[in-house]
Amino acid sequence: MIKRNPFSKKITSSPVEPYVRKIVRDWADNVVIPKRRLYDEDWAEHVIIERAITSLIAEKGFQKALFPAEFGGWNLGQSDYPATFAGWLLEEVSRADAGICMSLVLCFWPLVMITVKPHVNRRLCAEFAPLFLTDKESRFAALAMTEPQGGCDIENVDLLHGKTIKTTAVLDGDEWVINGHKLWPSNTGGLADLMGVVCTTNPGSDNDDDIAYIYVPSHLDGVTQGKPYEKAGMAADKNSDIWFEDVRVPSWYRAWGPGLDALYFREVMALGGLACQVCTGVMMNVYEILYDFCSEKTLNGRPLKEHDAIAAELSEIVAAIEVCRATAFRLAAILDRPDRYGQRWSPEIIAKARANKMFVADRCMEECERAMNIMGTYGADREWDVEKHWRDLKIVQLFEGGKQLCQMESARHFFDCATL
Amino acid sequence: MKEGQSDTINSNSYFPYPKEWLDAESEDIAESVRKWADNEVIAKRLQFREDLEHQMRTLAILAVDIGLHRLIWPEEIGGVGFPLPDASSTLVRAYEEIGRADPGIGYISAANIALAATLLEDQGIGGEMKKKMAAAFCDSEDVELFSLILPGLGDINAKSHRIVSGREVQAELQNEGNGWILRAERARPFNSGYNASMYGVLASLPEGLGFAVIEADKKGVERGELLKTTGLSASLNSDVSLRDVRLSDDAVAFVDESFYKRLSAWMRLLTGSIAVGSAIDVYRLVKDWADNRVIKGKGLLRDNPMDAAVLAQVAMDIVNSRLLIHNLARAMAKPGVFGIGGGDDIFILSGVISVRVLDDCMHAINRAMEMMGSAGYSKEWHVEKHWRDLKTMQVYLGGRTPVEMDVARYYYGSDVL
Repeated sequence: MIKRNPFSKKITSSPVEPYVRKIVRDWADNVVIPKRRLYDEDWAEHVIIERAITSLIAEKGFQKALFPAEFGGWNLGQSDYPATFAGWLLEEVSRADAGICMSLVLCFWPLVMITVKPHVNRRLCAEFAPLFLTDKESRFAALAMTEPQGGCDIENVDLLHGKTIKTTAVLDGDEWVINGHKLWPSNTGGLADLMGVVCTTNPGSDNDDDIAYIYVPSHLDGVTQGKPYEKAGMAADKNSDIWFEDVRVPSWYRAWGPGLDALYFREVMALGGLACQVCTGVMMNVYEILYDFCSEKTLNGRPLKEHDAIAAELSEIVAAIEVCRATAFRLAAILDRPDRYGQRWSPEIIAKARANKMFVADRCMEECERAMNIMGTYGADREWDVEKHWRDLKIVQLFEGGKQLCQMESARHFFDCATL
Repeated sequence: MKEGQSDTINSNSYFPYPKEWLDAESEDIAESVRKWADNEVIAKRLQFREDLEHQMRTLAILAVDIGLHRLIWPEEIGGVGFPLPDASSTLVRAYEEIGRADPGIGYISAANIALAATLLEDQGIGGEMKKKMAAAFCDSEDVELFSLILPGLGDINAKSHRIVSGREVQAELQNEGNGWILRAERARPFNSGYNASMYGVLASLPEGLGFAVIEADKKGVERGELLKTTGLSASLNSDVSLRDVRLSDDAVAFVDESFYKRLSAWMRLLTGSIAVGSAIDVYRLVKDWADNRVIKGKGLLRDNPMDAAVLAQVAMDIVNSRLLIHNLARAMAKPGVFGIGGGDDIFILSGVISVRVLDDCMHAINRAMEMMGSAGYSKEWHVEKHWRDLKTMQVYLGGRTPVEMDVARYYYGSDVL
């Protein structure tokens, strides 16, 4: 079906980019795109979906990418381009299915705390790397942040400093005892093998020292993953409640300790800005579909793409893709080089990441809606896949605190707001 | 409060509309539909979700037991006798309430009522066809579903058909001896193509247009596979091919472009009403969220200025949309002032208002989802269903560009568009 794709070309100067894109694109075109219309019915069982995920993250090895080479990984966390590399991946995977992309992202995201320079926790890498080194089975990681009350407050570290966290970690001898209830992490609903859990060691405290980031293997007693939520889209991304009841882990499963956990958790939030590439990847595929649709379907006797008014609409879509991709990879370059642009955990970088994510997610959502409008009665067909992309994109706009947290964190930095 | 609980907001008191345009009998009808919405649909959402059998059962209660589908038919042929076009405001109130419950049920019902209104108003439609249609609407104990095949997008490989208001007619009629032959290749119906019992097809004639009514089981009617769509789950749609379907004279009426314009105006009025009702239900859900959700560890969501601004936009969109759609109803009810049904004035006004109302209601729902975050995306809370339904309805109405072309033709004389 795909005749032409100007967005498949390089967007960075790296000679590695075409090879990475080709590997993922071949997988996307052969494994995912022919079957993705079955995913909505597979949301609970995950049989077809997990086969596709395994063929990417396990068989192609991406689940071990962040770990240092000395532990069998690809050393991506030690490189000067982890965000750009992730950006290529995220775009190409989301072009096929944004839900699978979330599974992939979560192979990386919770592990950033211990695998990315300058903070590599070698003891924890040695502990957890073996879990992810297999190329036979997919391994799922999850980042347990959101709680039933106050949701994205936990991600609003610079204002609340963990004050609203209800999940507790109590040191008992050489073990942490964890109790609490989390909502919505990707890769849950029974999938998660390892979770990064945001806790407080002193409930109600607004001291960064009391924010703890603790790794919890899911097989431990007291960990319960609920049934997956039924959602508007993102069928390939399983989410559920998670309960921790007197869960005991070794004390050294805490990533870094007082102060540093909160600091590097901010970096995790900044890297959430790579959701931009999830959006642009989706829109690259929307463009491909529109190219065919607007060549085949007619209005007032002319192919849609030759109808001046429709062509004007189409130009808005490609303009948005062009600008959003440039923005997304500019952000990735900033995230890659803290030596040039500032530490990823700094308020400045967090603000830039939030602003970029907000802009790109909003714009891509708007353009995806425009694509559906152009397609008229066909825009709602699952057969054309645009409506699937539209349903999937919506949660990208809503997650990571949604638009409102992005607004507050970017305003706080750029305008020196004291109370937001 | 999660879905399934029936603590519904009284939309009449929260969002104003011109009550003087509705008489007591119209309000009684709206109240009946309101009770149906609360008791049969909203209270049972968690139990039935988008179960088709339940949707069809509730549609039957609405159409047959309450009698909504008989409402505008004259009493002498079995209807309730609400006169047209005065019934437009009554219909708006009824479809607001249906939209609050399930836009998909509203949509298939609206397609039926829009067709009925058009047939009743169009002087070119013969008595035989009207009687046949009246029987389907008024005499049956089941809901007879009509699927509409109207002008829309064409296909580059298709034989070219006539253009109506810039849209491509999807079928053609040919006179043959003592009857007619109807043909279409993979036509895309407006609704219910997969399970309708009857089809209403606007087709091109060698000269002009014809409207054909055909039974779904007639020889030559071929339904495609069931289309999986974003929303409007009550409307099972499929492409439909008509392969040399033979029709008698009484199944075909000669019509002109005004038939399409009149049908479009009614459909836009009713879908706009559904959209307003849908947004009102989302308002109820997001209000409950804002009333109970604490942010930053202290105040309620509704009391945070940033969130309050977003919540205000939801309400403002609904206020504007409701007033607009009631004004369209009033304009359609006063042909002496605003132009006759089927004329350009109402056709354009209905296009302008429906595009605006659908845009604004989508905007309201999108903003409400921002407030509810992931909960707005979860099926448990039902907001996402309104979101999917309204988007589907919006694109099924044909999108924005064809309406912009209509408006340019009307206001700027852009005749070649």
